[in-house]
Amino acid sequence: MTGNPLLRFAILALALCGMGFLIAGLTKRPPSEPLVSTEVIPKDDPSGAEAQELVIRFDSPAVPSALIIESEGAEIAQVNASTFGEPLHVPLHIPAEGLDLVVRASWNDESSKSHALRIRINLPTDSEIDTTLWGNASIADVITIPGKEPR
Amino acid sequence: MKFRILAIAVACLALYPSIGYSNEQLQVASLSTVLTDIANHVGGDAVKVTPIVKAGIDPHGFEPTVRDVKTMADAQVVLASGLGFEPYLGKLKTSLGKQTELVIVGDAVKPLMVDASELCHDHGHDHDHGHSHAGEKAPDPHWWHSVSNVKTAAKTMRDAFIKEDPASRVLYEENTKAYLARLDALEKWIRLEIAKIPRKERILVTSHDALGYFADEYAFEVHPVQGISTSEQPSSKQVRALIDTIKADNVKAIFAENIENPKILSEITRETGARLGGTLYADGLGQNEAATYEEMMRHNVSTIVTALQ
Repeated sequence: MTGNPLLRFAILALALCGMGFLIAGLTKRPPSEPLVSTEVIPKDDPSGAEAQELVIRFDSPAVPSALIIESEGAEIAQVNASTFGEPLHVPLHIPAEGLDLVVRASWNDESSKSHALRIRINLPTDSEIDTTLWGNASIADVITIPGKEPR
Repeated sequence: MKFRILAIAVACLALYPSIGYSNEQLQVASLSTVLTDIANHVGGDAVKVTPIVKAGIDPHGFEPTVRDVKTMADAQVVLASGLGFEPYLGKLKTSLGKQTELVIVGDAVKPLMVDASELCHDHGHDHDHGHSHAGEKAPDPHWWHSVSNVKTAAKTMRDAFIKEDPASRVLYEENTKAYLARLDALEKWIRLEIAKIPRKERILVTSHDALGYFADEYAFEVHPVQGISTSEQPSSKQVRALIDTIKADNVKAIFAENIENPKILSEITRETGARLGGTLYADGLGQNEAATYEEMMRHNVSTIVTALQ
């Protein structure tokens, strides 16, 4: 391309910016919507092992306005008010060392300062974890799913 | 008349210390930066805590000077970590008078027992070595890396302060209650942060073996370059074995400590490809950063989670 170097640079820069906007637009994630169902996609397990299933039941005097479950820093399930009373089926790869789930719940109910959330988890080994978390407007805690070789 | 007024005034002055908050601060000396911080929270304005071991000093190599001993002898309470962390405690107790209460805080915690040969060189040994400690167990002295132990320590200090200064009982109890609530919140935060790391990746390669209580609490494996004491130097065979472990377990990061020279760790990172994950505070608090127990734990946990997640 002949001509003024500055002009050439400006055209090139504009072209690159234009491409950048296009790429950004194509790769932009659509706004996330709350899950209506409790379908969960398990993370790929490098060892190739099949996912096991946890069945989780929640109970609370007041239904939380938000309830999510995380594993290893990532959200794996979200429960809304309409499905709160239904068992949540969560396919997960449970390593031999075990797995830590983080449960986070919050309430918008201003009439009550204290809240409790009972969590029952049926494990693939046919045993059950039954625990209650206590807190105020929000609750967050860790529930450990034991593995075959717990650390 | 004037004599009666004077007599009443003198009587009031004599009664004053026993009927209200004591104006005199309880004099406390501390042999650990962590203990100093806990004591300040528990004691508040009712205590004056003099740190004998200050931030930046390696407590493993510390020996109190004559001046330090005098300072401690002048105090009403001296706080020590115990569990063998201060090998000079026996001699110190002899030097302190009956007016000074030596509180060995570590005696109240549930100790983690480790191979005594790791502790051989620096902790609690006043005799010449002529024997092996192979197979023997001894307590790991770094108990403060468990928040649960620090809660026990706070209660121990509260009780010690109340015994020496009963007039300030209410203050010590209120301060301790508030501090325990902070420690509960800290403990919860730590659990939530650590949960971000997959359990199979919870492997800590550190300068020396000071994080045993932390590892036990949060399901980590610790592979120290040195042993329990910072004065131990690893043999080339030990370093080679560690390198093989790091490679086999695909350890992402290794950690230096605030006091020790990280030179050996840098050499290990070159051989293994693991990166230097950051500095951890193991034997005490920092001078600017991690200057309180809570800050230290938050710093260590954030450093570990960022490096291993």
